[in-house]
Amino acid sequence: MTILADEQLVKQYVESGEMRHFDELVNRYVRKVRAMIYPIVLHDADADDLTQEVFLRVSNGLSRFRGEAQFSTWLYRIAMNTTHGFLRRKSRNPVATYEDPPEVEDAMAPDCLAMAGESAVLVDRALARLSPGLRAAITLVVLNGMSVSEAAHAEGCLTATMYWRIHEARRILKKELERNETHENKSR
Amino acid sequence: MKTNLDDRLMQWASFKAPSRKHVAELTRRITREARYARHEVQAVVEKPGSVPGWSKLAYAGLGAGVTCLVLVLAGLVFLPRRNPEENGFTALVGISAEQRASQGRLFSEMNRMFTEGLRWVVQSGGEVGIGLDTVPVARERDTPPLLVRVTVLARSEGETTWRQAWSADMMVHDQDIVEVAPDPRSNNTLAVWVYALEDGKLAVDTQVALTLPVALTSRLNTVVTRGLPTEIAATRTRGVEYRIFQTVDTVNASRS
Repeated sequence: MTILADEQLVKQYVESGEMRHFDELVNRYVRKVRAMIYPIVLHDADADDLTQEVFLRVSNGLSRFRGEAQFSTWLYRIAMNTTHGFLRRKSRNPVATYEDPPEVEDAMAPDCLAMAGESAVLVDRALARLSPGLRAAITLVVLNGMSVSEAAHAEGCLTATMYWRIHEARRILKKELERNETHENKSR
Repeated sequence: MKTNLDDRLMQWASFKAPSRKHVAELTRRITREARYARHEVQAVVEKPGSVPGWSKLAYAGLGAGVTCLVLVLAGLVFLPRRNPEENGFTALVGISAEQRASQGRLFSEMNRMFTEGLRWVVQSGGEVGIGLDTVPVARERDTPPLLVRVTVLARSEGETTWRQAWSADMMVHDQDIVEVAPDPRSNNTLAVWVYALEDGKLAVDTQVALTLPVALTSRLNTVVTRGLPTEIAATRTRGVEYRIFQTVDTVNASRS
């Protein structure tokens, strides 16, 4: 079976309207898009809703996709615009809600799970101290492995600005994690 | 340059990553909503507020003669209502093999009549409405039509037996989104989307907005077993208790 490139799938979807082509694009990118959104909003249900909104925007806008950039580049730009738009609409700087940890696929011993959970809460808190722009920078480059210039394109900013954001995000995160860990150790 | 902080963030991301099951559910939700959106854009879905089907008939230029024919045909295949006291509670909301067969015949006959352009059939209170594709639609899967039955049961205080207060049958194609007002005497509206899963079960999204016999709205997105009634809402008002059920099954008919 031939595996079609993203751009070929887009073309076939636009021409035929057959949903299976769109479904394939969703299958390829749903995990990635959600992984880009979650660290910025720090809320599972919001991340799911925004991931859905991104793909609906993509579905509606595919006929306008000109193929000048890769489909993934276009998709990530929409993901970032949608996420920042959501945060602007909410007019709030999202904070971690410390929901129940998600189901973990690989079986972990309970003590390991507890340690991972504690560590995750500290990272949650540290990330929540960042502005959405700084969270987006660290998400795109560190967690999703984008180059700085790709991340700058997704965010619609200059490459130099993205460098500065990553630097600033790392500085704040280190400081916050150290502060939180000190606080946790004292409270034990 | 990769730092310890980066490693820690990566571990955090792994810990926070949704399960495969969660991603599969999200994928299903997105593809379903995309189908909704596409159908809204194409405006091929009947909207509530008018008697569904008849405008399509007019559009098809078949006029009142066809209307009568539809009613006669439907009358022929209507099954007599079962007596709830004889058949028990399930008989009020379930779909019998006989009904699956008769509804299948109805759908097949109408589909042939409209040269494969039949989109949906709805029956309620002796009325029959149909919807036609305004443009040729190539459906992705050749699955039999699905019958969605929504039934409102009621009983007054002190009564022990339930009675059927309202019911509507909708026959739709797999994955089609259909929104109709099944009964011109009420403003009740139903919207359904059904997707036949590989394991034989059915993913169903039902939206019910009733004004009669009771004002109630409900939306349920669930996976059901074919033919097994599901309660989708319940309420009590003015001394009358109401329970709303849906039952979904395939009908015994090919699309051609």
